[in-house]
Amino acid sequence: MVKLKSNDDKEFEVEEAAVIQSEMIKNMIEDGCATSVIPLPNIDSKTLIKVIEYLNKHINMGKAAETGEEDDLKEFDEQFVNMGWEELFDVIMAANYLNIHELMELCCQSAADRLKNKSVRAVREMLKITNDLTEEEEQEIINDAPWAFEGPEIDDTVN
Amino acid sequence: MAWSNNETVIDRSEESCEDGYNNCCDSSDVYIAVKPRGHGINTLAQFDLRTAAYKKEGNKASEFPVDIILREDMKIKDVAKRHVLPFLPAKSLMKFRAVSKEWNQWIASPLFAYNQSSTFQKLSGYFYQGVGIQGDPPIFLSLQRSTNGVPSPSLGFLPEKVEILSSSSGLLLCQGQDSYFVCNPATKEWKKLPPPQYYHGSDPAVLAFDPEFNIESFYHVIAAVPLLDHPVVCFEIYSSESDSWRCSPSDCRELENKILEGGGSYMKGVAYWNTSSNEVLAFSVKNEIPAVLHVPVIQAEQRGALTQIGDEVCYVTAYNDTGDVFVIDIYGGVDMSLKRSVV
Repeated sequence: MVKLKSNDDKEFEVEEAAVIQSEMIKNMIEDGCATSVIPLPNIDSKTLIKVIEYLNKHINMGKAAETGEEDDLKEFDEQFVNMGWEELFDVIMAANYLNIHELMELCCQSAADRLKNKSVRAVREMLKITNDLTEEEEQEIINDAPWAFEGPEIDDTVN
Repeated sequence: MAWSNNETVIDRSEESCEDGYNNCCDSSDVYIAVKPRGHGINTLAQFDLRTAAYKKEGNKASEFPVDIILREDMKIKDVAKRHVLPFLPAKSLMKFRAVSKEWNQWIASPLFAYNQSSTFQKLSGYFYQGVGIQGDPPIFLSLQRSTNGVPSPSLGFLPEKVEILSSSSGLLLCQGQDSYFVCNPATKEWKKLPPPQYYHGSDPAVLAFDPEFNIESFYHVIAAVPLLDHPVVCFEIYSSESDSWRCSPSDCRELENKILEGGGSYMKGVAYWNTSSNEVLAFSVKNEIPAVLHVPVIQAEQRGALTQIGDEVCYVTAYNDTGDVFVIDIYGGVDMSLKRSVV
C-alpha cells in the first residue's frame, strides 16, 4: 500500500498496483523516495478521491480486455467525466501533475467536447484568459476564416 | 524515418454514398497548418517557436512557454492550451485563434499542427460528389455543423474543376484535367503534383498521409497501374519529400481480375483497391509489398466497400432485401466472416 496526502492534510491508502498508473509516483517508488507518505501539495482531498476512484477502477485495465469488461470500463469513464467544469479541471490539473496518461486523455477529450461549440468569449471566461488582442487583430483573425465563426449553434454560456 | 510502423489495416472511409455517386471521402478532420507540400521541414526549421511566440512577453516567469513551466506551476489556461486544444476539430480551432495572442500563435504553429493531427482522430464529415470531373462540385456533409466544417466545400480554391479520389487524415487527393492535386480543405492550401511516368487511367491513385511520427507532414500518393496486355499490376509512388514519382520494384501478378473499380482507400499503412470481382488489391506503403485479399462474393445488385470499424478492417455490403427492408452485412476478421447483419 502507498499513502498519499492531500493539501488539506488527509491521508489516503492506495494499492501500489493502482497508484503506479501515475508516472510520477511510479518513478518515486522506483527511486525509493516513497517510503512513508507522499505529500501532494496541490491536490485537495475532493479531487484526490476522484483520482483514486479512477485508479482503482482502471487497475486491471489489461485484464479487462480479456474478460470482456471493456464495456463496463467505458461506461465508468463516461460517468466519471460527468462532473462540473471546475471539478473537471481540478482532475485535469491533478492528472497532469501526477502524470496519469489515460486519465489525462479522458478528461481532456471531455473538456474539448465541452469547449468546441463555445463562443470565443465563453472560452476566455471558462479558462480565465485575458484577451490581449487588439480589436483590429481580432477582426483580422475573423476575416481570415469567417466560416469558422458562423453558425447559430455557437454556444455563449459558460458551463 | 517518419512513418508509422503500425501494419494493422484500418481506415475511416465510409460507404455512405448514394447510388450514382462514386466519390465519398471522409475528412477526418482537416488539420490546421498541415501543409501539403514537399518541404515541410523547412517551414519547421524556420519557425522559431519560442522567440516568435514569446518575444514580447519579457522575462516574467509566469509568461514562460508551457514547455518549461514545471508541472506544479501550470495554470488552467496553460494546461488547456497544451493538452485540451489538440482534441479540438479544425473549425473550432480556427475560431479559437481569436481567444488571445498566445492561442493565435500556438494554433498557427507547426508543432501544434503536428500535435493536433496525431491526437484528433474523429471523423468530421464526408465529401461527396457526382461521377466525373464534369459532374457537380463536391459538397461536404458535416457530422456536426458548429464544430466541423470546411471553408469551401466545392474546393473552389483549386485552379480547376476536380474529382475527389481519396482522402487521408484530413488531406484530399483530387484529379484535375491532366494532373493530381493534393489539398487541405480546412486551410485551402493545395499542391499540384508533377506528372507521373505511367498513364494512370481513371482513379487508381490513393493518398497516404500518416501525421503521427511525421512532423514534416510528408505524404505519398500510390497509383496501381495495370499493364496493358500483361497480367501484372505495377505501383507508381509519389513522395512529397522528393516531390517526384517513382516505380516500386514490387509488382503484383496474383490478381486474376485486374480491373480496378471505384477508386481505392488507405488505412493505416496499407492502400486498397476494389476490383470488379471479389478480390481486393492491397499494397503496404512502407514495405512496398503487394497482396491480394478475398472478400465475400456478393450478388450483382449488392454493393460492397472496405471500411474500418473500430480497429479492424471490415467489408460492408448493403442491399435491398424485400420491399422496404434493407440489410447491411458486416464481414470482418482474418477470414472475412459475417460478423453482424443489420436490418
